[in-house]
Amino acid sequence: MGLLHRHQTLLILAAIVLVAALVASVSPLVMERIVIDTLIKLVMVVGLSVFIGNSGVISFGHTGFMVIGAYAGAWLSMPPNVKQIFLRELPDWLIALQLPAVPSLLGGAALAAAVALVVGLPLMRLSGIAASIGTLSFLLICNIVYSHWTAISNGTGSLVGLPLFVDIPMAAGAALAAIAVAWAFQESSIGLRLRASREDEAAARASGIDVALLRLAAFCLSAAIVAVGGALQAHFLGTLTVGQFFIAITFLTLAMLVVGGTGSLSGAVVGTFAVAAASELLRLVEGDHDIAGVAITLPPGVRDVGLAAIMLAILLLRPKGITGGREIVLVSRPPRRLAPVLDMTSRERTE
Amino acid sequence: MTAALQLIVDALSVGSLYALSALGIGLIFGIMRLINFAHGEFIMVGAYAAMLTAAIWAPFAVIVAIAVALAVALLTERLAFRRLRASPPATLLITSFAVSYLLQNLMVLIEGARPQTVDFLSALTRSMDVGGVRLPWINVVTIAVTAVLLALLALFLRRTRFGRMTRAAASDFRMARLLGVRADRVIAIAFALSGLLAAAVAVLLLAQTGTVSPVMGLQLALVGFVATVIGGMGSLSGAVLGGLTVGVVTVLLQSLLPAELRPFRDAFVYGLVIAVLLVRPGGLFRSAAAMQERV
Amino acid sequence: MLRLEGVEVRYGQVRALRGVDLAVDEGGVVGIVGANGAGKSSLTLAIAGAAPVPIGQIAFEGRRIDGLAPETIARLGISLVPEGRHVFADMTVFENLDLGAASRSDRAEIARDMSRLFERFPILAERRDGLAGKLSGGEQQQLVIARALMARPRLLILDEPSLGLAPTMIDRVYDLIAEIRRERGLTMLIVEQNPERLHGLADRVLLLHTGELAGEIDTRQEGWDSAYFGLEEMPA
Repeated sequence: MGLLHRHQTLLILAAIVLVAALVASVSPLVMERIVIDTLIKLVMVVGLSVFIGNSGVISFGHTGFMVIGAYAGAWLSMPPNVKQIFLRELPDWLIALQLPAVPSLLGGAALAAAVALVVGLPLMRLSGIAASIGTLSFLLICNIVYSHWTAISNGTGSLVGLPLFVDIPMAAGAALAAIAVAWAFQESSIGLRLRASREDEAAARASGIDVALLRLAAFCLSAAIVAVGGALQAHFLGTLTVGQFFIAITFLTLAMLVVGGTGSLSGAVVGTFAVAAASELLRLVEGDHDIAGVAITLPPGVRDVGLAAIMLAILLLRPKGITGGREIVLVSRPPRRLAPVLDMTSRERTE
Repeated sequence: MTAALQLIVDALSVGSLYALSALGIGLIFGIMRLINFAHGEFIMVGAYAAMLTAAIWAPFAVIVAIAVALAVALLTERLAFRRLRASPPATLLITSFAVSYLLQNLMVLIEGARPQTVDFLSALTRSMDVGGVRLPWINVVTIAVTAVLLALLALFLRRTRFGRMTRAAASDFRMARLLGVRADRVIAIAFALSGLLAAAVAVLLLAQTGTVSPVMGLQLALVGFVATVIGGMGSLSGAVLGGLTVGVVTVLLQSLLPAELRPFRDAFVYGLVIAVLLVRPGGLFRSAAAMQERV
Repeated sequence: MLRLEGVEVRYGQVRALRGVDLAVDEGGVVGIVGANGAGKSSLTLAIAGAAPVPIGQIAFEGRRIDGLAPETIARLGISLVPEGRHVFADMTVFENLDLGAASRSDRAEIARDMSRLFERFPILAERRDGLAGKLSGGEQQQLVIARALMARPRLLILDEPSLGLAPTMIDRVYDLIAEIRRERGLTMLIVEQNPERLHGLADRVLLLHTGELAGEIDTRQEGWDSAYFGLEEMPA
């Protein structure tokens, strides 16, 4: 079994990203921007799947890491004179500092990972619904803190003048890196054991797997990736507000993950492109139309209603998503046992 | 003394709305292990229904609000949640999030995204003078309506067979079914009650603020989750107590926090949720750990 | 009356029951014994519709019931008293009993049945308006048996009625079961860990071993206890 064979999914997913990037580079500007935006969403969704896909716990809190990553990225990347206008209360050394694109993104990721470590230590001890509500509380706290702590965020007002460094190579590079990191994690022993706990938490615990610790690792890594996504989004648009990262984007990224299939990395990639495509089609439908001489105006909101309907349809008809929770492969791999440890305890669980 | 009385009435009135929201969410959680994000939208559609008919006659608007919230609650159950009943809690959670988003944006399509104001029972916002204390009528009415609703609900749940079946299903759904309690019927009853409670919140809230917007339900749904967590998930009386507690804590924080921290008030409330989840996973008012998810 | 053919139950990849064939005749009492994890509860839950049966058939009074909802099966006349009792702890003894009749609507008959049961279970009459959660283990076991009888079942399934009870209480519970059996001639399927309990009560006692029925055993046999436990390897 060659290395190529084992990692074929990684290569296929990378190829999908590269094709999208190539298509965008020869397309008109509008299309180019749509692809860049989709690649940024891809970074977010891949980050989300590192946690949700491997642990099976739904998190609403990752949008909080987008906020953290976006603002930290902005602190590092913005020119000092602009920071003096909007972020006067930042420490002097931070105002004076201006870093290039990649270090700024990584700075955002580092801060998010650090926050994830602190928040995750208690939160990852929770399971199932309690954990989901905990992460939701975290998002709300992030939203409130960044909305009102004007020293770090200019409050509910917007930050403008972020360097616009996100182009196709940058977005595609980030997406490729995110996918590679996610794949490496998934194939690592931490990833494999975490996925075993997803199938049966009680059995995993009983066989000595420290589920909370594994989840914490996934939580921090996924927070870092999602934060890069948030920072990319901010530097793509050039403006940043707290409201940009709240319920709507939480819904959009979760919808992408669910539509593709939460169980696999391929699901994250496929879902992102599928939902982005549907979203653009729906956007085309919005506005004024002239159908056979009859003027029809479809108001804004059609897109969001359509997306919610698509997500519901998937949940009802194909709850494991388009990919069915499997990875895309050209040559089939022998089914890999998730965890031999499960069989040891199976006897006790039969009743 | 007067300040204290004013504070108590304030806290109780805020807590009442939260308690009603939490009870609507807690009822369905107990039976289905479903955290219903869409509960906020049941409230929202009820408020819009009242807003659109307010000009006709206020009592009529109240009836329309009840009918619409009830219908939407039952419809979402029938079309979305019923088919997913056997799914894992995570799927149900995501589904309710999607239903919530769908209803919100449907309302954006119909009525637009901007908040709207209406003159609905605005006489109630006037205050009465009780021994030097100025109490807004609406606060007193909110507390009274909540008390009556809770009493009626308690009566239904304790004294009628359907009520007992609903309680039994909320505490042990599988056992209730093994005794012959019909799952479809009990869940429909729970959604109907949840819709009713949402309509009550909608009407009281509209009278208080006179404003509606498509996203108005979110805050209440969130507070409802918070309250169910604090009260112990699956416990109905816990949900009510949890709602009251959140109301009281919110009002207290508002008056006790130093001015510069006041904007962060809700962050403290949500922080409290995380603390309760960790320290008392069974809720503040129960000793038994009830977070076990259904197999 | 009850017939299982090739029944298999799975939880995920774990097979809890395989190829179980079983018949319970009208008026008969069948005992099933087996160690922890042998699949006893899976068997009772499968019959009652609370565990999925992907392979095999279950028929009750000639009608196929596998795949039906638990409430539908209950309404056909099968009452399960599951392992672990499952009283509604926050409800009164009276309310628990009333819920036992959830499948019936003959109010007058229900009231009559209840007063009859209160005579049979005097401790429950005493605690009528107390919370079920406050009862002792033995009292709770009596409550769930009485609650199951409120449905007027034609087949009563008892899953480990002795679990977690003191020895004297176990005797008391089994005396009650035997009395009910004598009075009503009720068809029963009783699952136990300890076969001696079923001596004199069950017509036949079958051994369930790692998910399969391994034949009939003789409850009169002396010292069979150790022999029986010798069959089971301890779980790792």
